[in-house]
Amino acid sequence: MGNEARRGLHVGVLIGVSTAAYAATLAGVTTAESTADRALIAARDPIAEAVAAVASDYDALERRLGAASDHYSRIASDYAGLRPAIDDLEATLDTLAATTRRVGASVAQLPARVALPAARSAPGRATAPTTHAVTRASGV
Amino acid sequence: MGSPLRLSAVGRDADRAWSEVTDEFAEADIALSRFRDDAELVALDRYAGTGVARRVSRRLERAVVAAERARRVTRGGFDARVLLDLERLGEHGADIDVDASAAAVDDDRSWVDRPIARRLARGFLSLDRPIDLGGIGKGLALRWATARCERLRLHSFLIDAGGDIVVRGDAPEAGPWQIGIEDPAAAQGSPLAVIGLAEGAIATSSISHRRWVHQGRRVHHLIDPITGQPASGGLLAVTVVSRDPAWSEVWSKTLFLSGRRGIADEARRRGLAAWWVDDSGGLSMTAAARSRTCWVRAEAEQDQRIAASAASNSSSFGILSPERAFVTAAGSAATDRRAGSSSG
Repeated sequence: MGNEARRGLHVGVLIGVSTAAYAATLAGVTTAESTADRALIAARDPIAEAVAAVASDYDALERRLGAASDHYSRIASDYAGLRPAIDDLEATLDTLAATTRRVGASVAQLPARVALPAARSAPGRATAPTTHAVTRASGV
Repeated sequence: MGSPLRLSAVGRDADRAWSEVTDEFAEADIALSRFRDDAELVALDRYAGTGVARRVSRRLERAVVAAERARRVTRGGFDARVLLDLERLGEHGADIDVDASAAAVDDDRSWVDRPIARRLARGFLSLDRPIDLGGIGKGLALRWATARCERLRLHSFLIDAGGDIVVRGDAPEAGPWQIGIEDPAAAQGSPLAVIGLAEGAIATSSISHRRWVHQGRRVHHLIDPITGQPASGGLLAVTVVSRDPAWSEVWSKTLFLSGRRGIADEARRRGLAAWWVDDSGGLSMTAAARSRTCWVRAEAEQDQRIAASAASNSSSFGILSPERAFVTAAGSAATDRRAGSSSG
């Protein structure tokens, strides 16, 4: 076999070896990437769970806010219903205050002393009425 | 119980009622007195502080239970354990073999917050300190005597046990029973006021009696359980009307301890009909008492002065008290019985 023939064989072997090396390298790289991805996924699990919990809490908060909003709406409605009665009460209090002021003014105009006409009447019994018993220090 | 006893009764069973009343007081005396050497209470007091539980009669047991309830209701204003204080101040009863040192020094009064007796079983009592039932015993005897009269279907009667009085029904003159309040400064003079009472009990606590001089100091028998000293609140006498004679007695003593400054608030807060005489001789009363009062000496004297003034000067102005409704007796159909007590 001549040199030309051996060169061709050498090129073929070289190409085969190179291809095999490439394939082995590619397999190694792929394995390494797969391992890194699994580690990353495992590291991200708690974060994902926390995000899910926050989302759940948020949903609950949203529901409570909705309920509170409904409650507030009902209270506002009830207060609106009471408002006429409150207005009436305030008006009554105003009237009472005005009446009290008038009474106070009238009282201020009354004389401090009133002279009564002379009265003659039998005075109260001067001596003690007859008693059936007398309460006193009871002794022992 | 050291007091004269009197029954005024209207009805056919008056004589039998008198027998019941005297029996009741004799039995109460032998059970509750602290002055009789043979009294059941004295025997119980002799075992005070020993831890021994003594068997007692139903009457003494009920009295001790009533005294304990009075202590609780008055929040310690009434306390039967003042006996050692009375002994220390010189008012001696029957000898109960009191430890002289215990009687002389008694500054630690933490016992006032504890019950006066332990009831270990029905009819068995144990005392930590000796007790004096004088502040409630006569009232209890009146309560029990009243019950005996009522069991005889006696509807109108008055029992007077030395100034503590129970009335039921109408007086013989068909009106309320008229009860005078003694002037503590003049026992034989005119009463300070007259009360009309159809049903109830009246009791007076006063220092006009049972007062003496001890080691150069004037003392009396109304002891403040908190201090162990005679009350000194500026009062001479307190009278209380209630439905029950024992409670009238308890409240009159408790109010006395309030003193002239506190008695009005205390009496009104308790809703009591109470009259009191301060050390200036003035008579005061609660609204509940006013409605039961039909004559007041001070008001009558004022009426007389105004009337005299009006008569001498026709231009005088004044308001005269209205004529007070009053029933006078034209004669008594009542059976009246009196007796002195056997002891004390």
